[in-house]
Amino acid sequence: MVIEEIEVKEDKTVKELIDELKLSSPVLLEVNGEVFYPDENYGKILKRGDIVVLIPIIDGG
Amino acid sequence: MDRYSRQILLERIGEAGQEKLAKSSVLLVGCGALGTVIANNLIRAGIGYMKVVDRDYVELDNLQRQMLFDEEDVEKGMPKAVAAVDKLHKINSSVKIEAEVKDVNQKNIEELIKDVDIVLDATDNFEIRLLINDACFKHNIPWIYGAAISSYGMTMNIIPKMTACFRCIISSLPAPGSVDTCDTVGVLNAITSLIASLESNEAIKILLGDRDLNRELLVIDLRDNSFDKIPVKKRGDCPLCRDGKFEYLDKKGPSKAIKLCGREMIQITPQREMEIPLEHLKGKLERVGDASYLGFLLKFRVDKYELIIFPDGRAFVKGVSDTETARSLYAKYIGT
Repeated sequence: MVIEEIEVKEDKTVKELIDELKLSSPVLLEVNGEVFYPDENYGKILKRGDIVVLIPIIDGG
Repeated sequence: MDRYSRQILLERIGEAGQEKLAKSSVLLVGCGALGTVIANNLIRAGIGYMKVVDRDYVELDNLQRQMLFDEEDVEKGMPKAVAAVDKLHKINSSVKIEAEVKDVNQKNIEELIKDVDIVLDATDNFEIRLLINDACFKHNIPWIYGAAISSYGMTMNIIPKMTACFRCIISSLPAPGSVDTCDTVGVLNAITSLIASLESNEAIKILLGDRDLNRELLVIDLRDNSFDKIPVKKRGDCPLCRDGKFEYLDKKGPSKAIKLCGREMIQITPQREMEIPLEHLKGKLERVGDASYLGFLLKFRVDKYELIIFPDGRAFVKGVSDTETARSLYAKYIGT
């Protein structure tokens, strides 16, 4: 469980990226300094070479 | 005031701030790794009143990180809220502290948060946090989210109508069993202590009316000692912030059976309020298995299963991974 950075290899939507990653936790995304909720921006296009930061939201305590 | 002299020296607190703290009231939901540290900090800091609510009891593998408990609590099978409050009374007898051994749910949360100035989250699942979020939004009470797993933790102040709410961050519940937990990937005591300390510090600031609050999601990873402040904004389609829908608060009845934290343990919650005479139940159960009454709870072993039964009718069923078997054991030995 860590903040991860991934580089987008080809243009795709946020939804496509999330489906591809099969994440176990809910996440916030940061792209080019902008933080957003993935499901509110499923149609957003991520460009090849974009660095996407995945910030897992956790529930342990 | 001598007891608090070192913090009164801080300009932001002073004697006036200390008096303000002494008049403040806090609800602490959950008394595990985060909750014991939060309670310890706030009781020592001299808040006026704290209610500690927890549904669980102390086990040996809690002692690595749950700072108010010891081996005697494990041997006695003490409920966490009771064991914590016993210790906290010894630490600061001038603070009024109450223990509630119960599952926080839709039926009781509004009563629990009534008259408190702030709610501190020290729970271990998303569903209860979404419930706290609804209740606090409805009653305009600030709360502080905190969570930790592995070496990773996060906290955020959630102030109704001012900040994003928890429903903004988590739009829907992840599928059961899909999320890593402390029981599946572990947790360092340093990260739970750190997140809990940040939560208690922010709580003191909120109680004092300090404007210099954390308004972002603070994310810490002790693997590389990274501290990140993530700006989070209100979700445009948030059912709570935008539409005022209390979907978790308005759910009908508590969950009947839920799996706990990746453990081979299911909690069964009765759908109606009840009080079980545990000593009487012990008399019945010892005819078919090994039953011991520990004052606050009843432990019952039969075949490969163990049932931990509380006076309010809740039971943890250990040694099962499916809710149907747990329900069946509950019905068989406790009733419906």
